[in-house]
Amino acid sequence: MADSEMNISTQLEETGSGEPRIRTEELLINMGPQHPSTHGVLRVMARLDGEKVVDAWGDIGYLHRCFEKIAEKRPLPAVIPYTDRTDYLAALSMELTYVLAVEKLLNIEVPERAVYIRFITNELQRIASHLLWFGAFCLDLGAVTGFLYAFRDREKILDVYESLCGARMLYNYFRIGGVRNDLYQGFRDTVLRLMDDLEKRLVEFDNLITSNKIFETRTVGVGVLTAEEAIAWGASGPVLRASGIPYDIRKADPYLLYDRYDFNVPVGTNGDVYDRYRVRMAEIAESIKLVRHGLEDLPRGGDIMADVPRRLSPSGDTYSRIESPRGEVGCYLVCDGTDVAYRVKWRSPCFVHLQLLGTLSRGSLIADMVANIGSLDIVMGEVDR
Amino acid sequence: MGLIDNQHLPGIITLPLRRLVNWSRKSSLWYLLFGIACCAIEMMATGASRYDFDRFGMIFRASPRQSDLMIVPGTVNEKIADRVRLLYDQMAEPRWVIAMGGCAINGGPYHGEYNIVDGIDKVIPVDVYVPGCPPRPESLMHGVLMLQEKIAREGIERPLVRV
Amino acid sequence: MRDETSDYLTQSVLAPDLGKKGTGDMAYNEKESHGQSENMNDSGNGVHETPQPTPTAADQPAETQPERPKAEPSQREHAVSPDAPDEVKTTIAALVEAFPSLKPFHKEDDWTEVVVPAALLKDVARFVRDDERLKLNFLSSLSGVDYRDAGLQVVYHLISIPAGRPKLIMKVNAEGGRDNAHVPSVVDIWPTANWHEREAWDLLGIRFDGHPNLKRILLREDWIGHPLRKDYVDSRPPRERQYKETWAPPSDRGVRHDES
Repeated sequence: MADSEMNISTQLEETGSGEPRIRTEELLINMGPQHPSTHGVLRVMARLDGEKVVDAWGDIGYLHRCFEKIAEKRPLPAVIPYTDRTDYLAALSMELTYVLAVEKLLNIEVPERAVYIRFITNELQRIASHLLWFGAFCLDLGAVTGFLYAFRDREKILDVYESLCGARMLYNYFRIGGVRNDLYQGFRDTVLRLMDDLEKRLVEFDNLITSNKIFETRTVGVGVLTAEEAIAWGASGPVLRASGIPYDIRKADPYLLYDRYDFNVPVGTNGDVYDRYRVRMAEIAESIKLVRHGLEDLPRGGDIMADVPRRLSPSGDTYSRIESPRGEVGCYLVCDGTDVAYRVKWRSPCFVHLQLLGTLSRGSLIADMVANIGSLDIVMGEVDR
Repeated sequence: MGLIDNQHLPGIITLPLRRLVNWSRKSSLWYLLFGIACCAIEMMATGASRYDFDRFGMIFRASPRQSDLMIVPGTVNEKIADRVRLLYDQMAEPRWVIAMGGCAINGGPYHGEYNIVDGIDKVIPVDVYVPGCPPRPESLMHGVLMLQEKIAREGIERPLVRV
Repeated sequence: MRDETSDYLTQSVLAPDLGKKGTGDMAYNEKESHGQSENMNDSGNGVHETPQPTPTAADQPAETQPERPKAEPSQREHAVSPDAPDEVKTTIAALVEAFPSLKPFHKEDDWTEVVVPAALLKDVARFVRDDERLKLNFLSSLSGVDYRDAGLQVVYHLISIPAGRPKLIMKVNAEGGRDNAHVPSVVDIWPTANWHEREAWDLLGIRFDGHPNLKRILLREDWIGHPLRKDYVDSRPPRERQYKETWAPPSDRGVRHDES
């Protein structure tokens, strides 16, 4: 900052026009909460020196919806619809975190078929979420075509969900001990066809965006996050993996069926915006593989609900973590022997990632801040809960 | 629309000016791009490939000063209520508001909780309420069509009413 | 009774009836006894017992309270069951070696749990982050819990990345009572704690000493109270519905009456 000030002043003196020296000072600008590229109601404050960002920090809470207080008031199963609404782009991942926590406290064994259904729907969710991220990110960078393409394909996945559980976004599908209803007839064929289709689309997206000169200029080397910074700041999911750390809860602490199937954990090298994009797109390909595996081995018939007592009254505390499309979601659940949780704390990856904003933006151009925010894949519902 | 002297003159139609104005207003509702919560994703989906808002003459604008319609898609809490009011005040007349989803109507699933404003109509006046959690894109389009009907009737035979 | 309840607090597991009303006296005793945390486990009630309800307890009808699992007298304080994962054994050994006053135990799966006095928190945190055997460099979650009269508690979930283990739960009971709850800040050890701690301050009113910027984060700056406290009462004034005065009456048709 001081350097650039010096440069400006010396340049002026060298021109020797005799005009008074231009005084430069920092500019504090406000972005949001209503801004097309803040992905909801994020407010970012940035201190600028010319076009360079000196410091940036987020102001959150514009979507704080008292989720944790509600979870202390409603009976345990009645909280599931609210978990949907924390991360509304990956609602099933949120449900899974909560349901796993309660099942851990109650020692419930979920039937095999239900586990498979959870596994398949969860991976589909990851694809849908990454597709939406791709679309929104393209829109942030000015590529409207990518947005329209991604939404077209996401709609097809939403159609599957709609046939399965009647909702497009907020499913309320998982239950403590299983899932609400069985797969519909033709699910397997529809999804397999969809996966074939998506594989072709991925190539299309790749051709459209990956080696695009404008896209590369705006992303390569922008918002670099080193591995040490990523760990210290608690980054997880694609943001952490793009910095070169192969940490995935699906591998490190397998839940559902992730220990049965082989899949790659895509890892970046530079930790910049471009790597985060590459990691997410590679994850879609891996998820397609996992969905295929799951559909292959899906048991024909069988229970979809465990034998769960009508009134749940667990006690004790537990912590369940899963790998959502955005990173590590955790649920710290404390129960006191009644049918209402005593405390539910939600560890949300986006909340943690938003702290990175300053680290990512410092020293870069103000125009790159949009790319930085976009690359973190922020869902404000999950940040504020 | 009518004829002059019972004659059809090529290229000329007669109609009350108000109706012409209303027709043009309702056919180019530019809406404010203001995503709050889950409903915003459905609003985006409505604007995207499959549902395509553009055919209603609806294009999103990022600035409230260029928009006619404010779709409030999501929960409004104490922290953002003032901002919503500010955005509404920045919009030029005539302006309309659609409350999208249960939260914007009366708090929805979050009704009565500590940080929640129970309905966006506690902050700004609302023209059309679109229920759902979240409403499907079809619901939102239906809401827009209802708003268009409402605009078409405005100022013709309507006394001063509070809506 | 006193021993049992104090034992619970050391394990930081809710007594089954803590959530009920009318247990104020008992809970108060817990708080009193908490000060002498050293002799809490002397009763020999197994600190190692995972306080999970047996499935039969969960299956019982609602009227009966789920019973707290009885501790095995044979289990000693630092003894680890032989079938515990290796990481748990290593973690417990490392912690006890460095801090003999701590009583870590095997919680569930491969989680180790330890209750840390607030005064020791910074030392323990720095140790578990830097120690070669533990390297708990990733603060997964920082949760505040309001245990009514038993005071406020902060729970840290720590993981070592990239291996994903060992995993440690640190529980710290806040000092200074409900109105002035204090816990040392760990922002300088795990920077990610910054917003977590602000959130705990905002929603639960736990002060983190040494935090660089302890302000409200989710709620408005002028908010009164801490909503996730169990005794929180919403004191907002009600809001009036807004109306829009639309078009003028037929007498002066076409003139717009703009409402303020």
